[in-house]
This record gives sequence, structure tokens and C-alpha cells, in this order.
Amino acid sequence: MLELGGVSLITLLPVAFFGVVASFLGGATKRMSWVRAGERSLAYAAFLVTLAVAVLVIQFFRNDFTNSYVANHSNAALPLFYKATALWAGQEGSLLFWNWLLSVYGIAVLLVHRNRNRDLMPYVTGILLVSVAFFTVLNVFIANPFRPLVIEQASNQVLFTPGDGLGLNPLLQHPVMAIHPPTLYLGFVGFAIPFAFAMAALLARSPGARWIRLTRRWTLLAWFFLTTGVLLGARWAYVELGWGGYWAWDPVENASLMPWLTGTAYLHSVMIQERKGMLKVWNITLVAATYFLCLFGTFLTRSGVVNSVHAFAQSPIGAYFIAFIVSGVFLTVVLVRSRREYLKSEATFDSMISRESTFLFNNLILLAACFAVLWGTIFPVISEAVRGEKISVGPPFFNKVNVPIGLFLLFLTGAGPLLAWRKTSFAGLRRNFTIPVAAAVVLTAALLISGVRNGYAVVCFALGVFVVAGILIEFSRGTRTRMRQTGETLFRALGGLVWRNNRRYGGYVVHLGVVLLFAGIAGSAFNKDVRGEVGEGETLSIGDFAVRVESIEEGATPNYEFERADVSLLHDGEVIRALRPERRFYLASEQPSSEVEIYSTLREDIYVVFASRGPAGGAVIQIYHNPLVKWIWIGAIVLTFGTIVSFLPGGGRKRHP
Amino acid sequence: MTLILLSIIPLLGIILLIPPLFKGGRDVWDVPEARIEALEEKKRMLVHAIRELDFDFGTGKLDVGDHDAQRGTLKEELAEVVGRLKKEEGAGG
Repeated sequence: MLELGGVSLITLLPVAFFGVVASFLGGATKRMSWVRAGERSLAYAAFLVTLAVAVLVIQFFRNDFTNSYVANHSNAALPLFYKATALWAGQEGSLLFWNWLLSVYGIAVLLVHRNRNRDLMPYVTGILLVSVAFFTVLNVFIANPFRPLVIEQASNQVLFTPGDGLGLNPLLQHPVMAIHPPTLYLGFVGFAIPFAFAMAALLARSPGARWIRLTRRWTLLAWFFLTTGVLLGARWAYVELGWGGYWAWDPVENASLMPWLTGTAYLHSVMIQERKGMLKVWNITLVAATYFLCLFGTFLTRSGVVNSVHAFAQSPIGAYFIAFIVSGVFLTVVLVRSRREYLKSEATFDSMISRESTFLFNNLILLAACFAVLWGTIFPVISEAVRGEKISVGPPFFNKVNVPIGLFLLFLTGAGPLLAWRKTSFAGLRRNFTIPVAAAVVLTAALLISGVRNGYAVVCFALGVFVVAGILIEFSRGTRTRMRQTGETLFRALGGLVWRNNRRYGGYVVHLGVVLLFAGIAGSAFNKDVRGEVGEGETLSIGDFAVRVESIEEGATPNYEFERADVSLLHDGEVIRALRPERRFYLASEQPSSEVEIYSTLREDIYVVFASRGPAGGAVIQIYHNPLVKWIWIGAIVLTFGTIVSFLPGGGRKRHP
Repeated sequence: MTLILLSIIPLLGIILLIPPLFKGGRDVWDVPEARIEALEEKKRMLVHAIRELDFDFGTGKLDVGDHDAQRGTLKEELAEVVGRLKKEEGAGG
């Protein structure tokens, strides 16, 4: 099996390089023979990498510990489900998984576009194969998932098959980890598609927004997966890491946030190019920045250059990533410069009070946030290089910079849809803004009267209401206009409005999800926590809530040993829920892990952690009171729904709104 | 036996990838001429802009005056682009 996987990867290398050469030659000479050879290379590369993935998964299922990667990331008692997810638990497997997703995306793109966009497709194939070749080089020479396990014996290396593996990191033994990494990777890898089309458009000297139209759904798909991946990561951190929070500005979290920020900026700025033929260089820059930040994110996760709960040990892989990213950026800049005659703007901004100007501000704000996150993330590396001392930048820096940026972004989220394209008169401005602003003012007054004194939280809630009011007005006006023009009933008109303008109204639903996310995040301004040793029958209180420890038990499964506290959660003295937080000790990996219990309502979460056994034999319990957290996950669902609405084909020509 | 089985993988690659190269022939695919593509793009953009303008007007985001003035400008631009497109296509045969 090991040889089969190895041969697949080694064969993949010349196939990918041949495909790159064939595709670019095909594009330049317009010879179909080269083009078809390039396409076949991509197809065969996809087959080979699929074969390698299948071999590795089978080795995990069969407990084949002759493979060093399997021995290091699995053990016989590991549940079958986690044996499958162990594929991406380490550096070698996750790089292989990246490559597999890329090749699958590549095949999908070929199937959809190869016969309709012949001038672009050879270059698209070639550019995708460059990435395939890069990841294959890493898998073959640096991080090979098919290395046999060897040990030193009398200064010789001999093959060794252990009786059992070292097991999977306990933090990764959570159902969310089965979908969080693939989702995030689908986002990272997905941005290779719009990037490849942008570069192909430049190489083929194809001016205009054709590449943007062709990749709109691919981009939305990648953005959707990236967003979902980031939020699933937050959910995993919340329920698994046991520190009561969902976002710690960890370098690897930041690594997924940065391409999300530039990708979101890109999704907005392409609308200006589609409508006015402006920002052509800007859009290419944004899509390239997003793709390179995706690679940078993978580099941060895999190189161990920064400390993180996600990152792996120091590895030489970083130098390869940096070389690839720097070369890619350099070639992109050269290409853009050489094609600048095709990238001239066809118009100018008509007015600062227009939807496109809010999009431009939104872009600048998102990029400012991205830069701040990038600076904070790589600062330890820079400080170590310059001063020989690794200085970490903590959450206070990120919060201080990003909270005001986020609030301004929230304001733009509300203001943009209230403005017309090109120009909005002052009368229109007054008419469109009156109700949302009034709603925000009323809520601010209500919050201040009720004693809420956290400035950022008040502003966040007020802006949230401003955005929601604007969205409701948009839906209401559109529906009423349609009812007037078509005579349809309310719900039919609303359905027709969204169906015919799904991109616009799906976007508004996404904005609604963003508001809910912000509301949930703003709730963290009121977080509280308490910690103490609690014996059986004793209680620990936090606000109106208390936890009473009923019993403490110990036990074992084949995979881990555990200590569990059976506790009753009380609200105003009444028992409302039985909870069972536990501490585990995983036998194979010899690592501890906390399994938290959360009582979650729309108003607040009570988050209970069994931290340890106390000196008096009781349970050391930590309770976090986290208001409004549930709205983050509800916001994520709304956001997902909105993205799906935007993604749908929609209702064609519009005679009515 | 293992060696024979494993050698199938690279052999299959050679069988799949090399033959298309010997088919030869220059396939002239339908690449839009850059100038015409740019005009088509502009036409599509202007038609879209007029629709958006009408939509914004329909939902009360624009006054009659603003709407009519902007619509007039866009229609003039569209007429000019359509004219240039016809001329280019005529010249191209």
C-alpha cells in the first residue's frame, strides 16, 4: 500500500509539470493538441492524487502502522470516524488533502468551461496545475505521507512496525473537526479558481469583466466555504478548547480571517467593475491577494513559524511556501504591468454619495483590517528577526484596532443599500435614511436608559438596528412596488422580488446574518466568569445562576480515561438543567482534554468547565456567563442561507423589480 | 508482481498524455477580437446600469429628475456604443 501511494505521488510530479507546459503552449499557439494534453494532465493528476488519498485513508482504517504518518496520527482504539479525519491531522496529510481538493476543483472547472471559453481555459488549466505541481513537490520531497516508519538501530535505520500508533490529538477528536478543516480548505483552495481566471484573462489579453462573470459563482462558493470554515473554527474553539471564548486572535485563526477580509472586499468591488468598467487593476490585485493570503494561511498553519494551537512543529516547508508566494506575487505584478493598456478605467465616480463610493470605503476598511491582522500576526516573527526576541501581540491589540474598524464596516453595511448607484440626491438621502437612523437613535436611548454603559456595545447594537431597518425597508419597498406593478399578493410579490433579484436580496440576507454575528460578538462586552473548588452538594454562583455538584465519577473507554462531574444548573434557586462536564486523558497520545457543557439560550450561555480535581478532593469548576453568543451561530445560519439565495441562478430578465 | 502493478501507473500516464500531441492540426477557435469584446462589454454594462437605475427608481431610491437625467445620459452612451459596435462588426466582415 505504501508503495502504491508513493508511486502515485511520484508520477503526479511529471504529469503536473507536463500539464503546465502543454497548457501554456496550447494557449500561446492555439494548438488543440497541446490544450487537450494539458486537460488530460489535469484529469490524470486528479486521478493520481485521489488514488493517494484513498490509499492513505485505507491505511488509517487498517491500522497500517508501517506508515509513519498513520502511526503518528492514529491508534487502534481510535473511532473509525476520526480515523478518516486523521487524514488532515498532520502536515503531510493536510497538504495532500489540499492538493486533492485543488484537483477536484480543477476537474469541475474543466467540465463547466472548457468548451465555451477556449481562449482562457488553457491558461486556467496551466495555472491550476502550477499549484498542483507545487503541492506535489512538497508532498514528494518535504512532507511525504507515505514514508515507512524507521528507527535507529546500531547507527542503521531499520523498518519498524509498532503495536499501536501515537493516536490523534485529543483536540481534533470532535465532530466539528470533521467538517471545519475541509470547509476551510474548500474556501482556501476555491479562491484558486477566480485567481486562475484573472491571470488567464491577462495572458489572453481579454479585457473587461468576462472573467469576473465566469467566476462569480466559483468566488461565491469559495467565499461561502471560507466563511463557514472560519465560523466552524470559532464554534470548535468554543466547545472544545474550554476557555470560554470562540476567537482568540490565534495566528491560525487570523490566517483564515485575512483572505476572508480581502475576499469580501473583492466580492463588493467587482460589482463596480461590472457596472462601470472601473477598478480593473484593483480587482485583479484583490483576487490575487486573496489567493496568496490563502496560501499564506496554509503556510502559517503548516510551517510552525508562529505558535498556535493549530500549528505544527518547525518545518522546512516555510521556505518553499515563501518562495512560491513571492514568485507568484512577482509574476502577477509583471503580468498586470505588461497588460496595463487593457486595464484602463472606463468611467469615474459620479458622486461621493453613491453606492459605489460606499463599496470603495468598504474595500479600504476591509483592507485596513486585513493589514492590522497581518501586522499583529507576523509581528512576533519580525521582532525575532530584528531584535532577536519574539514579541507576541495579544488580543488587546487586535481588539483595539479591529473593533472601531468593524463598527465602521457595520455602518457601511447599512448605508450602502440605502444609496442608489451613481448618485443619490440629498432629498433621496433624507428619505432613505430617516427611518433607519431614527430606529438607531431610539435603541441607543433605550440602552442608555436601561443602564448599558459599554460604548462599543451600544454603538454596535444601534448600528445593527440601523442595518436591519434599512434591509427591511429595501424588502418592503421592492415588494410594494412589485405588488403595484403586477397585482401579485404580498408573499408572491416578495418571492418574485427575491427570485428575480436574488443576487441583491441574497446579499441583504447575508448582511442580516452579519448583523446577528456582530450582536453576538458585542455580547462579549458583558462576559463574566468565576472559578472555585466545589465539593459534592456544594454550589458555585455566577449572577442569577449557580452550579451544584451532585457527584464526581471516574471511568475509562478504550480510547481515554475520564473524570466527570454530574452537576445541576440552577437559575434563581430552581434546577433547570443537569450538566456533565468532564476531563479526559487520552491513552495513546497521553494528552488531557476538557469536555465542556453549555446551557445555551438566546439570551446567554452558561459554560461549565471541569478544570481539575482540587486539593480537598472536590471538582475545580469554572463557569463562564456569556451573553448573546447563540446569535453568532444563528447569524452564521442566516448568512449561509443568504449566500445560497445569491448563488441560485435567479429569474432572468426583469420587467418588474 | 508488485513492481509490475506499480509500473502501470506511470505507463498509463504516458498512454493518456502523449498521443494527443501527435494528432496535430491548428484549431482556430473563436477568440473575440479585443476591441469588439470591449464594446460588447460596455454595451452589457450600460444595459445593466439602465435596469439598475429603473429598479432603484421603482423602489423609491431616486427622484424623477435624477432618474430621467441619468437614464438619458446612459441611453446616449448606449446608442454610441451600439453604433461603434455595428461599425466594427461591419469592418470585420
